[in-house]
Amino acid sequence: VKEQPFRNAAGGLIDRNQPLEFSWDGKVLPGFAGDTLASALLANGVHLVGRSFKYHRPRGIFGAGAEEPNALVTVGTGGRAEPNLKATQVELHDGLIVESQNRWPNLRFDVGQVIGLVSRFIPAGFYYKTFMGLGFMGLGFMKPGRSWMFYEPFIRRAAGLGKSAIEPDPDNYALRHAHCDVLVAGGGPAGLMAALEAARSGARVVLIEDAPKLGGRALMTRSRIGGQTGPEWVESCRAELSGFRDVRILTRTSAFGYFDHNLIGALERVTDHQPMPTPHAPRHRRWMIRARQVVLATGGLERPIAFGGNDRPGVMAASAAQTYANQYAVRCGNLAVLMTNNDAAYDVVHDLRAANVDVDVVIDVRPNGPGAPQRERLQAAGVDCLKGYGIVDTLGPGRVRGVRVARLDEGGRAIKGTIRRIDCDLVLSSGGWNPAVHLFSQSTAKVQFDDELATFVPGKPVQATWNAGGAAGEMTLAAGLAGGMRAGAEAASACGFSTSGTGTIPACYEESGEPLQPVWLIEPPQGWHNKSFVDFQNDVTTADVVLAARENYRSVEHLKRYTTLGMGTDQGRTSNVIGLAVMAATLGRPVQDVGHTTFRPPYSPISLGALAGPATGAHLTSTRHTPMHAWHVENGAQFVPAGLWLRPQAYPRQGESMRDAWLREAVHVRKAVGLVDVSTLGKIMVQGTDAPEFLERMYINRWKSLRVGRCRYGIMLREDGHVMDDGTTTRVDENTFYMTTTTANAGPVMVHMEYHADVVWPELDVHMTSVSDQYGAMALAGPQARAVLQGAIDGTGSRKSDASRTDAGQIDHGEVDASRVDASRVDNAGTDVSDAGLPFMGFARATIAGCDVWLFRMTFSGEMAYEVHCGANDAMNVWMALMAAGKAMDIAAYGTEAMSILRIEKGHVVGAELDGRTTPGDFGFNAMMRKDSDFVGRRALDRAALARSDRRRLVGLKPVDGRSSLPRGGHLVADAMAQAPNVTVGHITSQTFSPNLGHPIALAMLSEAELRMGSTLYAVAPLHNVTVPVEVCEPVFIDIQGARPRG
Amino acid sequence: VAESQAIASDMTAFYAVDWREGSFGNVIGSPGVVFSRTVPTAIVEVIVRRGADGERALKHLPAPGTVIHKKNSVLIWTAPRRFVAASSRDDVQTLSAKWSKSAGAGGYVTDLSQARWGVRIAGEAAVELLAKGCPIDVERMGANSAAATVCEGMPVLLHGVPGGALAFDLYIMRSYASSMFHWLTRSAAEFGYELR
Repeated sequence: VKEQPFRNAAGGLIDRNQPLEFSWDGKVLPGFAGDTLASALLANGVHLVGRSFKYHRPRGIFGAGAEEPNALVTVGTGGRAEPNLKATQVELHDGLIVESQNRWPNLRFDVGQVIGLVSRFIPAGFYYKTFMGLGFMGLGFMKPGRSWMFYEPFIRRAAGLGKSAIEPDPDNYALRHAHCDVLVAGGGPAGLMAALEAARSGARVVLIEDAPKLGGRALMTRSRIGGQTGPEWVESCRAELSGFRDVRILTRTSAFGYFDHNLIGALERVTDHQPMPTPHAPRHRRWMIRARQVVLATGGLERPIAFGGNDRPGVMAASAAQTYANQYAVRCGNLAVLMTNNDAAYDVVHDLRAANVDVDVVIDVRPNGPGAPQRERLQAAGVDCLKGYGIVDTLGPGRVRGVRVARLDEGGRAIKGTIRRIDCDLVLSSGGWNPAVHLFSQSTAKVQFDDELATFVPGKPVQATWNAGGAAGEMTLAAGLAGGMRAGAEAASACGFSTSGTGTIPACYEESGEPLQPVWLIEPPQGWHNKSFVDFQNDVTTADVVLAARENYRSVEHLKRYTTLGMGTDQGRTSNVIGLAVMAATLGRPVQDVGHTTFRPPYSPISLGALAGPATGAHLTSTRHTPMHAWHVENGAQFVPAGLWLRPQAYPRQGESMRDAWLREAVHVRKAVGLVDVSTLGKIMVQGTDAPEFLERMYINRWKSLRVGRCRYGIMLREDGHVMDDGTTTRVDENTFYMTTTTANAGPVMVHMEYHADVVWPELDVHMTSVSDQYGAMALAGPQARAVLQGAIDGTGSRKSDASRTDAGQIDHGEVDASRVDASRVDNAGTDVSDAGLPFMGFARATIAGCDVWLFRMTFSGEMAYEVHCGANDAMNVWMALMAAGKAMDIAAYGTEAMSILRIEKGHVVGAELDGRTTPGDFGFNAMMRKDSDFVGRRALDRAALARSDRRRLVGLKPVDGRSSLPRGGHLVADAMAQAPNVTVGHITSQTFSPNLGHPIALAMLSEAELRMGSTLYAVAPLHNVTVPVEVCEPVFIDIQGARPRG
Repeated sequence: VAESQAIASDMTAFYAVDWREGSFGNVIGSPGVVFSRTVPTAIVEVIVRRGADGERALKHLPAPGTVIHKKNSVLIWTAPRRFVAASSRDDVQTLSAKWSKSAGAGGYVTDLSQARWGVRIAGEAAVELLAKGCPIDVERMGANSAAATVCEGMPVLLHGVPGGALAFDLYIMRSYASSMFHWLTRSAAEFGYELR
């Protein structure tokens, strides 16, 4: 086992029986199971771990957890390489491969550090001012605002974080939904107490902990809790919690978002800690947990004090060094200096000394120093205390080798003549603690400033939220334990569980101390210009904040965006409060008046894979197949998505292009016969004695007068008078209607009708059932359609013997009994499909290939056509029977593209025209609109805007030259040469090349259509630089009289 | 026609539902999830009218979120006044007649026998699997419970099957069958699964 020079021989919670090796920038280093990458690096004496975002300054490990701003690394290789992970949160495993980032050619000799030499000339706002105006260094050849486009790639290359993998991600990711009574976010002392108290009451509890082990601060404290060591107490809590059937403990899981209705998002890292991921296991699992009550026990984040040179490797948060010493048996240095403004930080001195780190002096910025207990302990340990002093600079080169300290005047500024040097290789800073209020803030609740803690604490909750421990501002261990127990009990009680007398608060001892003195930064002596950083990750200095305030960016939100303070993966964990305080001081206002930025999810980075979950590649959305899909595949169909459906776009033959295929299909339908799969239509069975009345209220048409066995085309409006959908409805019997909707609107129409039936007119006896998937449907179209159908219909009236087959339809309604059901079956033998037997817009039953079918004489293509609907199980048989019957007449399947050509040729409207902005009158449908009774949307049609005579109406277009393609989505103008803004008088909704006419055609919506009929306009698409003169014509190009479908 | 039917029978009715019996995924010992096909002979939707007759009928029908077993079938509550009846013995005519009567005067019954694809999900990880896709509280579903919900965004009808270890019957509109099948098998891989 290789030596780890800064690892103590004993102590810590690492497993020394499991030595590990990992690669750091190509160098193999040792560690132990239980280490984080950061603790292992420090154990090996590695402090330089990264280069800063903007100035490429050398940076070291600052924290010990999620608060780490500097140590961002790339973990893994190939498709598993993930940048910007915090070394403090990466669990060490054997074979871990880690690279530093934002450096070239290597971390120690990074070329980018030359930027640091000119850093004083590139403060906050430099890029905005320099590269977003007319240009830089005379390179103002670009138009204003465009120069950024030129410079951006260079700037991004020089400044930035890691690079994401290019290869496909080999891992899979999962989503998991969960519910609980009480969710506890944070498994530290307060969280454990809250979870225990809630669990003991019988509540269903989910406990989330970011780290691999429960315990948080209790794992690193040397205080005894309830007579046990911290780790012993944690283990006893874990054991008790594990004994409850309704408690779920999620470790290695970060609560990243607090959403509406107490929905918590959490990321579980399932296999990241494994050298070889468990087969089939997801790498990350995203939990979406709906909790009745939420306890936020997310702890506190130690706040540093800003001072000159505070970003040098070897400068750390005091509690971080304490964690490394106690939990990982790692010495972050040999000789430490602590600067603090509070008594709590003094424990760090004694813990470090116990871990063989010398601490000769403590610098307390308070004039009177610590309270008596800490003063006496310090004296007993032989440690000096410089009261009223502050650090004004750190000494290098490279890692810190000493500090300069100076006495502070009453304003907190260092006094020049008092400067002295102290040698050290570790500088610790503690400016107090900030509650981790991120999740609380995400819940839309506000934070408020606490004068005693000199920080923002949770205000009044908006959702069912309780705060406990450090997150609530209860910064001592004892207060956290008590607060956790209280929050757990109150949360459980709010869920209706009794918690009286079920637990006790474990005793622990902590020194009481002098109050904290709010000190945010050590003002350098007059004339000093060394940088003191507020936000390490974004290279924001105190001078940047002052500059922003001076340039009148006085809102905290503006400050954030101008300086980038609090952005990135850091989210201001260590920087926000200091930045706000510096700004407040500059503006001469109290910190609470400056306010706080709003935290947004995610609290900590979440992998894109986890956000996507299983919805990747072909699984991005679900896919719907029609019953005949396999036939389409077998016969060479090329598919196109139609919503979730896959529909045949065309059936290209060998050597045939798709365009040629659909043109051929469109011609074939007009000349012979074609069959198209229309199973995707929405199908709704409307039943009830009030069904006719209901339909009259939902549609603009008349339905009471529709005879049984007849179909009618209907238009449905939204409440605002615009067309919602169209389709045909057939009266199957007196009180049963079979409605079809467009494919896209099947769901919305069902919802629309159910809403009105259940909420608006509950007195009506009407019920809807979606039968979209019960029936397959196909349209047989063309001059030979009738002949094919006649040939396919069974003449014997044979019925399938399979008992599960039904007579394709609604079974019955009313007072049904078995005998009536049987009696309702009809003999469909030899159904007459002649004009007399099945006239246009008529309905009949038949059997084809032994399967019961419904026949509808209606057309979308404009040809003689029949829709054939049948049970989905039978649809393939019926389809193939029709193809077989049509073989002699050269029947061919056609796809959606030919279907679209045919309907444009006939001027039939679809979603492109029914785009939510059109009324029935825009299509000339006023004649079918009832005038004597009300329907949904009727009142709105009287509004002036919908009744204007110059509304755009449906017209047809033909290119004047008879050959130019009409631009998709093009606009219509009267004068193509007019200066901008050239007023548009209409727009193209559908366009195609008509193979039956031999030239392009289009449908368009045009204002003053009657006046412009026959005139020439211009179809323009400025983005494509296309202008086509067009003739305005009627929107029906073929069979204008409509004779073909009627036979 | 006969030739056509022969070809059609070779084509699966549920495109891309490649049901090959066997164990797949991370199977160590017994599989965490066992899928078996549920092929009811008939499925109908039963709607109970408003009014006194309907109110009387509802007293004998499943309460919200539950199912009842009788008349050779299971009746599953799906929404207020709406139920789905499924049977593996009756044909659709028989099933319809039985439940029309139970729905009282004016009840409505609609055949959905060909509109659904069903699968039974059993095994110790059945709940874990469904909780991956269903936002409802699947862990609290027990035997004879029912829910009309979504699974991975697809509309499904779930009900807890009584007897032995908890299993679920999942019904989905037939057009979603292949997507649901792929989601189920893909999501069950981490637990190990068997197609039976």
